[in-house]
Amino acid sequence: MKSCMGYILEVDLTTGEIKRTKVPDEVYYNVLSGKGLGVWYCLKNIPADADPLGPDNVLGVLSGALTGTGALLTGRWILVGKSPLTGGWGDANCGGTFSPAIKRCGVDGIFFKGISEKPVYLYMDNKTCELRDASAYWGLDAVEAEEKLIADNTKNKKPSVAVIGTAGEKKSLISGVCNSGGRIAARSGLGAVMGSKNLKALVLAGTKEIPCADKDAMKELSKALGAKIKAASIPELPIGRLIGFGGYAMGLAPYNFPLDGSMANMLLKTWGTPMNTPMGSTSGDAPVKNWAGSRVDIPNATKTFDPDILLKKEYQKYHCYSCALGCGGILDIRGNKYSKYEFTHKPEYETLNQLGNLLLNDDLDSILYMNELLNRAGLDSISVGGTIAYAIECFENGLIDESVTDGLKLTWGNTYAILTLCQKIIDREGFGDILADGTKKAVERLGPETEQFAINVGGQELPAHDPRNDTSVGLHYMLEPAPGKHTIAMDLMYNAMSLCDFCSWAPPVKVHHKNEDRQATEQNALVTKANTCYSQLMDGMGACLYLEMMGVHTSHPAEHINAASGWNRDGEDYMQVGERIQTMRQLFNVKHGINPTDFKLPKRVLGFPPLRAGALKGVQLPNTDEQKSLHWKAFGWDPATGAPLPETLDKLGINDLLKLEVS
Amino acid sequence: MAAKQYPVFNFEPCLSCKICWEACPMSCLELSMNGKAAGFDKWNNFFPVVDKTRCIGCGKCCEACPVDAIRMEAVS
Repeated sequence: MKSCMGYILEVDLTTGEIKRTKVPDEVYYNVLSGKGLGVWYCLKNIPADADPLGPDNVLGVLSGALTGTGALLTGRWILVGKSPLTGGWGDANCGGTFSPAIKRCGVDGIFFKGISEKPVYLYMDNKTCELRDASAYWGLDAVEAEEKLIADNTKNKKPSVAVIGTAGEKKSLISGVCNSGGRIAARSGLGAVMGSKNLKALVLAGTKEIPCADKDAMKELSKALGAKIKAASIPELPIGRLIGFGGYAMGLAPYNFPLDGSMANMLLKTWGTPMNTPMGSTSGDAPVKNWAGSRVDIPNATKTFDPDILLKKEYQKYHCYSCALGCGGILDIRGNKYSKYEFTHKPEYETLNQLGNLLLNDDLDSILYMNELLNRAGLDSISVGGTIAYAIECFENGLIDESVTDGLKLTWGNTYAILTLCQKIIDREGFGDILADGTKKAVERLGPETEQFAINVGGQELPAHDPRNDTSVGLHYMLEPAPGKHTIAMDLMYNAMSLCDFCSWAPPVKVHHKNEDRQATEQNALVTKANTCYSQLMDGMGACLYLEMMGVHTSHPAEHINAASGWNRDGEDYMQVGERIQTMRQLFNVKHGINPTDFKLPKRVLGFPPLRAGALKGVQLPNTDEQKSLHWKAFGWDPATGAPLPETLDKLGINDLLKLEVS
Repeated sequence: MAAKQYPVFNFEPCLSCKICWEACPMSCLELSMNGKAAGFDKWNNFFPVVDKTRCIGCGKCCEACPVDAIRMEAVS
C-alpha cells in the first residue's frame, strides 16, 4: 500500500531477538493498517490458550494507513492484544503525537511477545533498533518517565514516547499506555500486558519519509477540510451554561432526525468533549449514581460542569498530530485545592462524568486532580470511576464496611473518600488493591452479592453514554468484541454521518420516533452494521472519531484512502474492509473461547427496574437480545451464537488472508 | 555559496496541526506562539516558531504542510 511502510517489527522480549519483516500487500488491501493489520497479526500469532499476562500474548502498537500522508485527523495509534480484563480481543485507541513516529522508523506496527527478564524499553531511529535497560525509569509515572526518556535519548530529533505508568507496572487490569504528557490508550487493560512483559516504553526517533501516492490530491483534500474546520466557529460568549438547556431539549424531543456532521466541530473547537457534561446531565446521556440516578440527583450539574469554567483555565489548545480541530487543551490548575501539579490535560467528558456525576461528586477541583493522577499512573478513568461507584454502592447497601475499606466511609459525593480511594487504587494499597483490577475481579474478591452493582459488559466498565438515551450505544457495548466501548457507534452518530451516501446498503436517516431505534428490526440491524463497518475502516486509517462524526459529506474516506494509496475503490468496497476487520475481531473471540452471548448489559442499564425520574424515566430496552441476533445475522454470523459462519469467512477472503505470512 | 533558507509561516491558513513540527528532523520547530496574544487567532491555538540556530534548511516542514502555509526563504 503506497501510504504504508510495508513492514512490521517483531520483538521477542524473552530472547531479545528483533526482526523487521515484510507484510504481504494483500493484507493492506484487505484490512488496511492500524486495527486491521493488528487483528490479522494477532489472529495468527496468539495461541488460543495464551495467558493474557503470559509470554505467549502479543502486544501490538500500530499506526494508521493514512498517518503521515498529509491527511488531516489521522494521527491515532492503536494498541492490540489479548485483553486480561475481558479474556478476549482487546484494543485501545489514542491521539497525541506518537502515531507518525512508528512509520518514521520504517514500520507500520511493532509486535512484542515473550517477557523480558528485566525492565527494558525499545529504542529505534533510522539506524538503531535495540532493547535498552529501563531500570532508571521503572517506578516513574508516565509523564516523568516520558520526559526523562526524551532527555536521555535525544540526538537531533526528539523521540516520541509511548510509556506505561506505575499502574501498568503493577499489572492493574484497567491500566493503559500513555504518550504526550498523559494522553492514554486506556481500554482493555493493555497497560497490564505491557507491564507483564517488563516493557516500560517505546522510544522512537526515526525520520524516514512516509509515502503518499498522490500528494497533490491529498493536499487539495486537506485544504478543503481544513477550511471547513476553520470556518466552523461560534461567538466568544459565555454561553457554556446554555448547553444544559440544549440537553433538556434533546431529552424532551421524542424524535431523532438527520444532523449535520460538521456541527460538532464548533462545540469541540470551543470546549472540547467537556461540553457534553452539562448536556448529558440534562438529556439523560450521562449516567448518574452508578446508573441508578438521574438529573434530579445532580441539580447543580450544569453549574458545576459549565465548560466555560475549564475554558478560563485553558492555557493552550491541544491538537493531536494532524488535527485541525484542537479539541484538547492544557489547563492551568495552579490554586487547585488538592493538586501539587500546575498543569493537566483538559479532562475528557468521560473522566468528568465518571468521576463526577457517576459518584455524585460535584467537586471539580478533585476531578481535575484525579485526572492528572490517573493520566500519570496510566489508569483508565472510565474504569476507575465505574469501580469506585461499585464500591460506594456496596458500602451504602451494607455489603462492605469500614473494616474492608481501610476506614473510608464510601458514601455518595464524599470527595475525601473518593480522592483517597483513587490514590489507593493507583498504589494497589489496602482496599485499593482489591479494586485495582476493575469490577469483575472485585466481585470475585468481595462476593457474588456485590455483582448487582458491577456495571460492566464482559468485564469492562461502561462509559458515560446511557443506552436508555441512545439504543445503539448500548447494543454496541454488547456487540463489540472488545466490549463496553462507546466509540464504535451511536444513533446520534449515525444520524450525522450520511453513510447511505457512502454505501448503498446503509439505511438513510429520516425523522423517526426514538422508540423505533429500540425495536428489533432488520433496518436497525443494518444501521448497527453500517456504523460498525465504518468505525473499523476509520481505525484501519488511523482516523479520529471526530473525523468519522463529521460525516461523508465533510470528509469522504474513499477519496482520502485513494489519494494515499493510489487505489481506485469506492465506499462499498471500503465498507467491506470494515466488515472484514470486524469479522476477524469476532473470530478472535470465538477462537479464544469467548461466548458472544455472554456480553450482556446489566439489568439496571436496560431499565429493569426503570428510572423513576429524569429524562429517561420509565425507559426500558426489552429487545436487545433480538437486536443483537439480527445484527449478527446482518454480518453473516450465526444469529444464535455470534460466531462468524464459514461461508462468510470465505466471502470475505479471511481464510486466505490468514494463510499469508510475513517474510 | 547559496544563502541558507528558513521556513516562513503564513498563519492565516495554518491549522496548528503539528504536521510541520513532526516532520522536522532536527526538532527545531516549536508551537510556542500564542495566536490569541499575537492577535490573529480567537482561541489559544499555538503556532510554529523556528529555532534558526538548529534549523538546517532542509524544507521538510514546507513539504509536509498540508495547506501550503510555509515557504522557504533565503536569509543571507
